Amino acid sequence: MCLAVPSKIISIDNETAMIDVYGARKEVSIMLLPEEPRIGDFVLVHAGFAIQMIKAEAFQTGEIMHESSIAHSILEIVEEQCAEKNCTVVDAVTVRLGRATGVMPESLQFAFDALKEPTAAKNAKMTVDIVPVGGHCNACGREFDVPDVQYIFACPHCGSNAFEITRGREMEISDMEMH
Amino acid sequence: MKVKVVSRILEANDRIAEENRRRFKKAGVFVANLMGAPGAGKTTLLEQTIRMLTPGVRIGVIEGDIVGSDDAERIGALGVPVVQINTGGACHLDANMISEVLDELPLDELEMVIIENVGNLVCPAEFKVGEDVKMMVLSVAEGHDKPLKYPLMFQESSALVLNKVDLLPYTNADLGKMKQDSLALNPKLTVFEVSCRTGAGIEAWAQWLSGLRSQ
Repeated sequence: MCLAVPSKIISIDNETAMIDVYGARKEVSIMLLPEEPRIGDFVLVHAGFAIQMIKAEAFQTGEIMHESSIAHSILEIVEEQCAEKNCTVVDAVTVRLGRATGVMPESLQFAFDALKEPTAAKNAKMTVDIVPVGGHCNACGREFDVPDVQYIFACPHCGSNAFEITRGREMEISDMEMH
Repeated sequence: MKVKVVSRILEANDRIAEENRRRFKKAGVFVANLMGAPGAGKTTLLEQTIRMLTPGVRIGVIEGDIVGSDDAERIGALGVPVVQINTGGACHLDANMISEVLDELPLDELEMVIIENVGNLVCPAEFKVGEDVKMMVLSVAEGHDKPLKYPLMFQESSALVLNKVDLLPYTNADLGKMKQDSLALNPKLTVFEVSCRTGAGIEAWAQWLSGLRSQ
């Protein structure tokens, strides 16, 4: 999770630009940018102002943010797997993401789509399966899953704190479609 | 063609972290990864720790910041070897960044390396860099709601240093709740209450850290 949001410029009118943020459209000021942006450029937006241009290379080396490092690693693995199976085009990728990781699925999706262009996965759709936090209680012996939270203090069945968390920290590619 | 892959996404990072760890081990160096939000007092704690432990313990420092070398200059002024990494926008240090600067530290002459991560309460917790131990600083002025809002770092750390306890009378922070929630998230956490400004609690913390080397 990081504070400024990377956004793609889709149109420019003098000192304002229309940007796309996770599919939502928003008008921002571009007066603070050091250079004139072009349509298709990525910028970091904070409080209604585009504050920094994001160079494509920086984005690709995963320097911009947490989720883009992770998207970059996903694409590396995907391309490796694709070559290994003698394929050239990746159609779909499924990622399992634990609820207790610090990764935001929307940001990951955004970074993946922004970075996939020069790769074999340029037309691939990424699906993110969220894995809820879950585990096993040693007191009552039951399994549990707790949706929508990152942590628990007590077994949801019996209230004991003698539980073990066994799920919710996953960050893995589970399957791919390619040809 | 549909294929099952099951490949851990951060495997490449973890592999480099493991290589870093092997290099540190070979040189006999204990490594701590110091994390926390901007302004929590990471660099000041580091300065106080170095003052307390050197020259008895030979310490080296890797400083991670988005830009600038202010922190490295502060640490360098204490006479210990220091390397500055500028991440140029990235919100955390990763194993590869550490690997690239290892040659700049005289590892064979050191007993402990402290890596000060980029100021951030979220992202650094996700990336191993080759450390023996992760530890974090939280200042009481940040508020007692932080453990439950940013649980991952508390769960990943071995030690929590609650800094700026001298400011408690001027805040609404509930130190008891801060500790209670942190320990509920991670019962193995060792908690220290310190004030880097007054020096309170620094000795106990520094001795604990120094003692980890022989474990």
